Amino acid sequence: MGWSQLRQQIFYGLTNGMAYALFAIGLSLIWGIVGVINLAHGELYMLGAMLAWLVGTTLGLNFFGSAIVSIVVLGAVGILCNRVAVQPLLGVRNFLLLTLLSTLGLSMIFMNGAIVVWGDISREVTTPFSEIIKVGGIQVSGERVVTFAITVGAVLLLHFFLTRSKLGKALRASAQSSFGARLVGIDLKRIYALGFALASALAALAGILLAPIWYAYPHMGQAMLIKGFVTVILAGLGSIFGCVAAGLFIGLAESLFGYYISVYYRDAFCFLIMVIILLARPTGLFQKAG
Amino acid sequence: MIEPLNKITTKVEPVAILEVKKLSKDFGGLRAINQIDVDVQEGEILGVIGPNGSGKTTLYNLITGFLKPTEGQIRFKGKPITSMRSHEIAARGIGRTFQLSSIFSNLSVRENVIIGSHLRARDGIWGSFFRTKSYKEGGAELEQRVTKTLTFMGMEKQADQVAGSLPYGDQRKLELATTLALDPEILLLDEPATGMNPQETETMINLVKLIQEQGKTIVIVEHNMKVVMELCRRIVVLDYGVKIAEGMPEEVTTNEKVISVYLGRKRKWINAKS
Amino acid sequence: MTKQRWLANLLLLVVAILVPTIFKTPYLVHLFVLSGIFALFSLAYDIVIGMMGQFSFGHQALWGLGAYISALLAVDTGVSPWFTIPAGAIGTGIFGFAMGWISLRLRGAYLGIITLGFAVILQEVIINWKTVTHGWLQVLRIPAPKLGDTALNTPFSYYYLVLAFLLLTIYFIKSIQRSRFGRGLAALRENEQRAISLGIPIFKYMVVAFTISATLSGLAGALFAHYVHTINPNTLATSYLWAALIIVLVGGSGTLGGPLIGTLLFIFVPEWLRMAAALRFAVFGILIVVCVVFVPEGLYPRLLSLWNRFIVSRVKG
Repeated sequence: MGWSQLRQQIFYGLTNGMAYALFAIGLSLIWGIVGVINLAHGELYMLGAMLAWLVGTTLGLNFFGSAIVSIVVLGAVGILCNRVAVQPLLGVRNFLLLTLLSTLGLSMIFMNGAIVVWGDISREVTTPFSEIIKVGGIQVSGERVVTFAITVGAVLLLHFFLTRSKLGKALRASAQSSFGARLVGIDLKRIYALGFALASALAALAGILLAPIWYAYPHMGQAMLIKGFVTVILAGLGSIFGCVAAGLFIGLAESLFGYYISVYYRDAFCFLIMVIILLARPTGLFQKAG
Repeated sequence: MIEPLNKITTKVEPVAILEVKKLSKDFGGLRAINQIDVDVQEGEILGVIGPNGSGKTTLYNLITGFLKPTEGQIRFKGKPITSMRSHEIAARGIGRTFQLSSIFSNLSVRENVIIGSHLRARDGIWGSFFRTKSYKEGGAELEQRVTKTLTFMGMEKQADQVAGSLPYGDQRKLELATTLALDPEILLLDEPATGMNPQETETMINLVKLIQEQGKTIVIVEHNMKVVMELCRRIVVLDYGVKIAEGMPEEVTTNEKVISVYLGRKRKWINAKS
Repeated sequence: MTKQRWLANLLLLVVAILVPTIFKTPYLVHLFVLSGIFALFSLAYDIVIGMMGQFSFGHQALWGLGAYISALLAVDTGVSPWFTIPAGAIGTGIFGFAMGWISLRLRGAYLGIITLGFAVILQEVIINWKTVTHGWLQVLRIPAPKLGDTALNTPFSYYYLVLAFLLLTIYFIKSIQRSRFGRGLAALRENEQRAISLGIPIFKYMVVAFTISATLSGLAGALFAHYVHTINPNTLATSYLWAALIIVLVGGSGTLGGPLIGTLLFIFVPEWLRMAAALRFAVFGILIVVCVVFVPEGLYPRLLSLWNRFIVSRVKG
């Protein structure tokens, strides 16, 4: 019967969901800490993938080497984004809308820049774990499993960082109250830079892990961005674990709905769920303070 | 002895314009307001005092519909308003100010008061689009009302200043002016004199007296005992959401329970009385 | 208004009417037609962003819906565009009413996301309801309105149609600003709680304003459809949302001049950047970031304040 299909769809759903979660965490961090909706987040994700591919093919580094270079570089790019598009607008009226526009400008620069440098084509990316094996009657791709595992690891690391380390606590404090954070002597500008660096590194990581599954192309960030927003909103502001739960929920719902009911209305279905949840619980499913 | 006919006196019943009956409000497990009964007499100035956190602003929020009560009823001019929406309650004639000065900072003083007159304004969209006579009349009428209110408050010279650039005392005056422009029958003032210097406080006291003389009823939540003692004929005391005393200022300030709640402030009371 | 202002407006009006005579090339006039249509859309969008001070990430769907309603009526039932264009506007207004009524319970980014949700759902419905909407097959040969026997399908003729609607819209928005309703919107934008405490029914006002914005967006979309003669589900793409957002914020939200200046820049600057497509947009992105960071209040307000300072220094000096 369709049991193995069901297991397959659940597998896809959960792994997709984890991917959305990894992407969304960066978005959620910036929104929580800096108060900015970063429309360039998708492009940082895309640049992460592209740069790793570029480094791998031109410098001949292996997968891990390229990944590390890409993540570090994108972290720096994130700091640059903050410096250029967010920091000058701190304290200005309409901050949220203006940073929306400035990050939109950044996303245009990055995406079109990528088209100019790499061409508007899709590239296939290979990794050391590209094998697909059959487990329990379903197709299990190594890349999906690795993405899942690394995301879980990243989330745990992040959680410990945010709750145990001094810097992490400063980040959380700034997310709760920028005024209060300043009172206790936290340098907000450096915190915001750190937040952006962290979020961009996570976005790059997501891009590197997902490019093998979904191909690498300049527009790949755009499609993810909307999913990312839905995930962050459902998770509720400031909740890392919420992002995971929300991501898994969306991935699963999307896969099952798409396979069993209608693949055509899949996106509409996800948004409909989001609309209903927003109306019922306007602060998200897992709203937590930090 | 037979009483002369012209000495027959009729007792005038005080009319309760606002009645709060057994009002309670829970926030999760915390009961912030507990079975409060208060009647506000028409034309009086009622004081509401109590330590911080005793529920004074919560009481205002309940009366004006910003919060829904867990139990109890609120009646305005005899009609229940407990389940009405906030803006409807304001339209009925209950105006209020807020603890943190609530004005339209980016608009001018004049524009602030114009918005206060919103419900009385007659210049709607269709009139504006077709430039009808009633639109123009409505506009002129509005100008007059606003000028009158500003003059009453002594703010005509500041009419075109940006509200946010005013000194704090003037901002609170503006808030009062805007509330007056609503032409309400009862005003709920939340700490109108807090943060003001003695001069500004004196001005505020006089203004409130003048407003009462116009026939309005006023409720004042205040920490400044000088203001309370000078203006209020009756005082209600709250503590932890419960009404612990009610009566004339002299009674309340000598009430044992009230004094113990304000332990350490006995000196302030004595000074205020003299 | 001041005599200076009145004269400036008159001058602009005269120039606007004479545009096809001044700029004789059809391509230039075509750009002005697009400017007029996008200006209408941006003014509609600014009712929500600037006048009301709220978010909407769903206006691209209102634009597209207006286009689709009008185009489908004209192409599939043969009704004259003179009727289908208003029908597109009104139909979009009705949808906008429902959208606003549901969404305006939320604020900020949540309001933005829920309106985005409406847009995505609508786009998906249009893609899949093939029998009615033609799905991904474009709606082709959308007719231009006819004046007597001549179809208004040249940039020159269509320009005046768009200009007429644009002027009407500008006057309408001005009327709102000068009315009780407009002041109520300003109040709820500046201090929602205070507005409520002064008796202003803010939910009602917001829904009405959103509906007006939706109707005008639908009108712009319909005018677009009958000008470009072809539409498809990409007419609801977020690109149009970004366009409106860029125009409104770079030009200056909350003003009439802002969206107008913003539109002219948005349409003409990419033309001046004579380079390959992707590079052009990358440079455009740089310009956007520069504008937002250095002139956050918008170009129109900045130009106005510079002009005032210039005048003051002339008077004093």
